[in-house]
Amino acid sequence: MSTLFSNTPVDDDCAHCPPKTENIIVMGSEQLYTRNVFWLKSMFLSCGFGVAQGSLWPPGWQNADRTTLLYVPIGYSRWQLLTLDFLRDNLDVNIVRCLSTSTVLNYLRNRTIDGVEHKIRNLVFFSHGVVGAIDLNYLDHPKLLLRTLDFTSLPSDIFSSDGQILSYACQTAQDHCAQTLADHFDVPVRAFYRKTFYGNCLRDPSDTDRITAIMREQRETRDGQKIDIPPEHEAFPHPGGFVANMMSRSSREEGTDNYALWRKLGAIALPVTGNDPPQQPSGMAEFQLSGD
Amino acid sequence: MKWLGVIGVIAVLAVGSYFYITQEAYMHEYCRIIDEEHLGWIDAADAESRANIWPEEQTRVIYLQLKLPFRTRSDDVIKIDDGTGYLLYEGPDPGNQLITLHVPIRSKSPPGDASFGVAVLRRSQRLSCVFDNPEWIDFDETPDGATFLIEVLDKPYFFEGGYWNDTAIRQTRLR
Repeated sequence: MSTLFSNTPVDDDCAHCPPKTENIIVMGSEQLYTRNVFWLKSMFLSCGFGVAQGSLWPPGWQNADRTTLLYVPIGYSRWQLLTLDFLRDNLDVNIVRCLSTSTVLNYLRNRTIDGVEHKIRNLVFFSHGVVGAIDLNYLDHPKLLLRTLDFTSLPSDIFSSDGQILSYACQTAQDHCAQTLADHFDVPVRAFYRKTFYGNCLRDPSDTDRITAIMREQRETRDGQKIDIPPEHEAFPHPGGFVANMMSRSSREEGTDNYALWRKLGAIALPVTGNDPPQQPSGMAEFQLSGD
Repeated sequence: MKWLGVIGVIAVLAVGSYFYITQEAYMHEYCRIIDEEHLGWIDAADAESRANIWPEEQTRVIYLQLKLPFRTRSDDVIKIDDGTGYLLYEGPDPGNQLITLHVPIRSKSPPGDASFGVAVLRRSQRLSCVFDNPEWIDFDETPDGATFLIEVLDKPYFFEGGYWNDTAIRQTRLR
């Protein structure tokens, strides 16, 4: 009682205040779809961008005192990464570059920020995933693999009481990964059993022909420069790809080779469950502490 | 006889070219041309890995013999990591020589495990080739001095039970 009704000003004594909270968005690299760079290279980036700026709301998402975006820069172009500068400079989003698994894990582990404890309210992953792990640099060097045991090596009290984990990586629900996380952290975990479909995140498929027509036309005079695709898209120069891709002419004929599509407001929609493997349940599954 | 000689030379060149081209194409299935920025991030990540030491941790000495399905060049750099991004070897193709790895056993993890992924970086062509290894070793069953053969195969196959099912690496314990 004496503590609760002390004369100490509230600002000076916040022992009974709820802890501050942080939303953490983790974005992996995209190196799988090397024959489809234009349409898919920015799929993780655009989803993370949308959630960070508040235009996309994953299920159960709540605002927090602080938003941090962890990203793996490998394979992204300077143009793509500049979009993160926008979030930092205009929306005060904390941006953390991650080149190793330990950087990601240490960020999740160390909950004291500027001397103040911040519990994680939402932790969301936009990344490739394999059964039993979130693979933040899939098919590339160096490995940035977050296995179930990497998560369970973290303290179990890093989340706020209303915290949650969302994984838009493929197959996080399989092999007890999501359930193990729910049990370890005592927060709900939402994840897919199947592979995740990001194909419609950046543009409506009915818009494809219009976008490629603008690309072909604009590249006649502006090849190698950023290309505006009104009203809401732009294309960033993005050279490179698989060597075998040089044999493939489809993206060249489309006018989209050596470019990556970007939507100025981030993704149109969050990714959805895919079709593979068909024997696994469809949709996003929610896991709670076992016995709840 | 003269024509036979010419035909012979042409045949040898054709066969040689065929094997060279198929080998190069094969290698390229796993390789991508990367831009300077990408190369810079790989260098930065490797530098971070080299600086990331765990003084309190023990290491296990493991020997590897590496077999690649394509001919490497003098400027190729072979990189072997522990499956989680920690760089264990960085250097030229050792050929038939054994590679000595000092694999960290992390105190905070369950019985330490590692997966020896292989990458080949050909800087002159900005070529990066990555081969994921689906097999993980358990240190409880892998004493100091254990030796493994890591073969990068000329054809990917389906490996049941690893993080990566579609792989071109076959791992065999030799000792």
